[in-house]
Amino acid sequence: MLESAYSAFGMLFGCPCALNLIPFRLIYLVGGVLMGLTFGLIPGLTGMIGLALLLPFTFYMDAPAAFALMMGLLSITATSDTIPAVLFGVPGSGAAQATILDGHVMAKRGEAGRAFGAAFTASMIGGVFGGVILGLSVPILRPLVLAFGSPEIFMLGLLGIAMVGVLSGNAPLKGLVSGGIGLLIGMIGMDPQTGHLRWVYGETYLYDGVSLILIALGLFAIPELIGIAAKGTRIADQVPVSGGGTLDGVRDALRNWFLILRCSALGIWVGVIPGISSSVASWIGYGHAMQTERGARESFGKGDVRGVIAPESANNATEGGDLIPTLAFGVPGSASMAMLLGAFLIYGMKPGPEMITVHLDMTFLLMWSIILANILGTALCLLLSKQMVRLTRVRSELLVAPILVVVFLAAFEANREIADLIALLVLAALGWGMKQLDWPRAPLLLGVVLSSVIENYMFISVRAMGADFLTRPIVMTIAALIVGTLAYGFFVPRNRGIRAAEDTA
Amino acid sequence: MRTALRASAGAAFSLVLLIALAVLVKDAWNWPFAAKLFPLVIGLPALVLCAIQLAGDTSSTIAARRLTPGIEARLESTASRAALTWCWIVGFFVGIWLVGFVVSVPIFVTLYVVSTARTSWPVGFAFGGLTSAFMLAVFHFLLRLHWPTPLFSSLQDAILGWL
Repeated sequence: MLESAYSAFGMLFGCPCALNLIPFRLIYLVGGVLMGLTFGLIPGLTGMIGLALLLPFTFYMDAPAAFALMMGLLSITATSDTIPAVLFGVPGSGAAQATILDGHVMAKRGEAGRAFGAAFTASMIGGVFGGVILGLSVPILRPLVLAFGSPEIFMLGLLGIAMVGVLSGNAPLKGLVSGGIGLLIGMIGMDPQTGHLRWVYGETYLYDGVSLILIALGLFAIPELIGIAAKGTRIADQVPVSGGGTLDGVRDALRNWFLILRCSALGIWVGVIPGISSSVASWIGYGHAMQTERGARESFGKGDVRGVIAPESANNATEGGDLIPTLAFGVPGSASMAMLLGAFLIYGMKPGPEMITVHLDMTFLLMWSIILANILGTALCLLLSKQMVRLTRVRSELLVAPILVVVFLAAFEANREIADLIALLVLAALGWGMKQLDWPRAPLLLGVVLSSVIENYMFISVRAMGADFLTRPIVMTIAALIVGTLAYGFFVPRNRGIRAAEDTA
Repeated sequence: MRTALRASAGAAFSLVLLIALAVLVKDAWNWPFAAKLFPLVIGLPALVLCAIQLAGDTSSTIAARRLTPGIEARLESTASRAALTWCWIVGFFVGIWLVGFVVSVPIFVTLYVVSTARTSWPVGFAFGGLTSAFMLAVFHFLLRLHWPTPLFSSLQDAILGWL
């Protein structure tokens, strides 16, 4: 196990064993971090959109470099999104909403530097903690995952769809329909079991199914760009003086190390549960700090630095937690993890038992990527926060056209046919309609990614055991969890804060 | 707050999804058993859930019509800006189809930046030029992308030939 962890570290730095010290994969990681910082800064452009744009171009890279790039991007958006949240009260992403409450008040008081120092340090510790827990969970999960056969993995896939469908957004019924539609879209093309062509309507373009890249770009990237264009404003007209005190903020964070560890643990726990986003983690962290810290009930919301530290450590830790079910069971907890899962499948790696046996070094590479990206991203934020503020002043209309060009080119890369662009527009119309009418899109993407996996495991289970596979103890336990999830989604009223967080996430 | 406009759109969207699901399920019905098992296992419950959603949307549409105080104007203004962006996107696609990426990208970016962001023409040209340079550097020279043949290919061919 330790050998795999060391080998993964070597993969990231080139190959130290062969004295080839050119860290080319590290350069990709740094590239991912820089993109992640930029996407986090600009409201509306989330890490997931960045991932959707990157995905088609990673096919030309070797797998470790591609995943270093993607993890670099994903791990760090929750750090730089703090900058517009603190300075302007506008979160770079949903994960920074809770930070506004105290961070923006601190900025108004002239303590933006202190807020940044505390937020970035807490983010780094949270992110590193999440990565470490991901690595430590491997030996714990290993016997559990290896005990799972096809029936259990089939049921886990259904559980993932049910959880993401019910818990993402605030309309469980819409979430489930969305997941169902995703599963059906994933079945378009040739059935691998029988060779029958499903829903191709004579179009050879559809024989291989609909590309995951097109679905990600159509459902998420274009609707978000239309949203940015429709708003038609810059984030802020005037940049307040950020003030000094960054080192004071770092000291504040270190002084509250136990709060950071507690909130990071909460963030990891939230990440492990499919369907709950990092924005929820930051609200839970904030709420936990308010309930447990001395005097917090009076001082929170009035510029208390602990109100910045708690949500920032929680939202960065979710990434490590998110990866645990994705890698171990092939059940992604969020849309970005669904896309990462799709990338694994494209590279011929099947998340599940293989990730802790055959591809263990890749699992550890992801862990190192999260850890290094968080350290590097935090260092860059601490050094360059004043310069980064300028990016948030760019008018959104100026960004829309160049990004649209990249979206179209990325879509064309899917199959290199003009039909890719038609499919992109159709999916964009679907995604835009869903966004406008509060239909959660993450379950649809998850459905597409998991469709072939679930169907494959269902067929293996039915062929090997008939309907008897449903009577296996773990299968019945997971079935009970699915029923419990559905009951929770439909009958338990949800926390208003969580709803609000998810609405804007 | 739910407005009548939004609620009606919600019902219409649910109806479109319901019809699409019904067509998919109907098509799958006649496939061989092994090919249709999973599509029907997923499609039939999705169809039922979508019908329930449509019923809910329809009733909320009726309720919204009674209660809405008339904030449609603001919604329509945002919708019209979104519709305009959709026109740009579709126009960009038509441009690619007619004259190809290489020609339509600088034109699209320049016109969009000048007309929507209200910048000066030199700034628009700079944006168009930089985006095209990025596209050609990454996709033409680095990734060796085989550009799609547009309906009128002579201009694109001439530019690529010159490059």
